[in-house]
Amino acid sequence: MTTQILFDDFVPGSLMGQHEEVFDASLCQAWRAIFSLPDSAEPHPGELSSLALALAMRAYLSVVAPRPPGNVHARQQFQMHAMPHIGETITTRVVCTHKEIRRERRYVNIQVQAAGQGQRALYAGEMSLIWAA
Amino acid sequence: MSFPTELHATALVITPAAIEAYAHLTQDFNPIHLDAEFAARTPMGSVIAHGTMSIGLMWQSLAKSLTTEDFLKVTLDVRFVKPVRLKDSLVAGGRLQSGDYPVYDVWVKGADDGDERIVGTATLSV
Repeated sequence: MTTQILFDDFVPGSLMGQHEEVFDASLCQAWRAIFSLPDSAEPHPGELSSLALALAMRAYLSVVAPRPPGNVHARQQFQMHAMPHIGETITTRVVCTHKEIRRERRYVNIQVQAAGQGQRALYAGEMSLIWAA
Repeated sequence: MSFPTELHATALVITPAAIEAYAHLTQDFNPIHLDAEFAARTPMGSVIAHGTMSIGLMWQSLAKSLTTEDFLKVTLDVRFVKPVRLKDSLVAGGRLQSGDYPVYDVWVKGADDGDERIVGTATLSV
């Protein structure tokens, strides 16, 4: 079993890795089922932004692994630059930007930046997580 | 440019099926979302929903209210102030701040208790 990434292992300013995946139509279907929305040929902006955030989470969870169980999301900043297209290959950079202990809690900040075909900027965000160990 | 004063309200009920489906969508199988026994041993006390699922509700509220051009100018900055739990009925919305710049106070609240779960701002770059 690979050693879990603990708070002490994070190095602010470091690129932790990159994640690449194709934006598959099945993700849209899964998202619509969760929000009880009808199927449609073209995903709307709210759907694409929600899925962009889901894709950002997939990238973070793929790169920063394995994690200790029980981490909690404390804050999220997110900005769309352009809508991803179905079938587009999305490359996401995952960077640790900050860590600190505050009120006996371990806070870790992770930044994600996603680019699509031709390196077009798609979305970027930064999450603050309370790390479990 | 003119912007709506209020964002369209968008609603969601948190069910075990929704949490499990969202775990598969994001590949986030953190037991705090899925394992009642594990969650009970954490400071959260019981299973909580994925935070970004509720943000998805917020995005829908913004997308229903703004043009696509304006929507792409939004920077969302939110804090999770109270856990979202199973059976919570949520509503996302927002209100335009008074001032020179288009900034919305945005939230996800409990539809029944009115308690804020997520609060923050949606700022449109101009």
